[in-house]
Amino acid sequence: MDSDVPGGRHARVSVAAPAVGQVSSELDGFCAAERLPAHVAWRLRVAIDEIVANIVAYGSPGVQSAALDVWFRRVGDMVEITVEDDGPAFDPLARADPDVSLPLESRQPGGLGITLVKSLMDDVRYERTSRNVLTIRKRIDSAPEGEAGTDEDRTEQS
Amino acid sequence: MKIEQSNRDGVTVIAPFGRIDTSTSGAVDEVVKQAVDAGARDLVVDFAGVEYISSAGLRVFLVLAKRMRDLKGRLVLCGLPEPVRQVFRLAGFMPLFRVEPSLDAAVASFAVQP
Repeated sequence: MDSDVPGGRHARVSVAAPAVGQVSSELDGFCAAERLPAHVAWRLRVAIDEIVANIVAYGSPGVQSAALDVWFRRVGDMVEITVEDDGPAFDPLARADPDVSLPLESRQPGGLGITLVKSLMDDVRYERTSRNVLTIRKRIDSAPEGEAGTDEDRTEQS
Repeated sequence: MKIEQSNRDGVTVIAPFGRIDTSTSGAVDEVVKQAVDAGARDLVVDFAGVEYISSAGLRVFLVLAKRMRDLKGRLVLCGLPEPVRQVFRLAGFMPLFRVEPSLDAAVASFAVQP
């Protein structure tokens, strides 16, 4: 269900629990093919995990054989990933971020995923066409302090 | 995913390996729950072998921290690689946990801290 497209990679998967692992595998393939540094790759992996898990959890209720599409592209020194789904219009960026300064007793699990996506990516955009279209961009920059290390050594486990 | 469990000086040590994300967090949750159900009250989670953590994994450790507090147990995290540390920081999790640099330091901390 996946194919290479000019300048990138495309995957179409059913909106169901296995989608998270399937898209994650596609991303692994893309990171390896583009030889992305580890500090870029893990940020993309976390972001994609959050985005696809959200779509699986809240996407396309009652829609038979709903699918989501993911396009992975490298544009200059940026990685751009676009995720499209057929769920009801939902702008995840419009939600308020949870208060991450609260003490343990007041913390609720949940709501952190999109906060992480926004923090880990350089740019996140939502657009409603006939589908939900979420585009994330991450610059392929030099490793932040403490994150030196090469790409390939971390990408094997799954 | 591989999750090792051991006992050091009466401290239960749980060490997951690889990615803690939507696909694997259920397995980590299962192991920590079973350890606490079995009576572990001094607990270390060693992150040295963890590649990264997403919010599905954060949820596991938030729930664990609350449960350990309710049980008056002690929970220490150690060996956080930079990607894990980064996500904990962004989520405001650092103040919620006792964090030690290494497993040795984590185990030793039980002897000196209440």
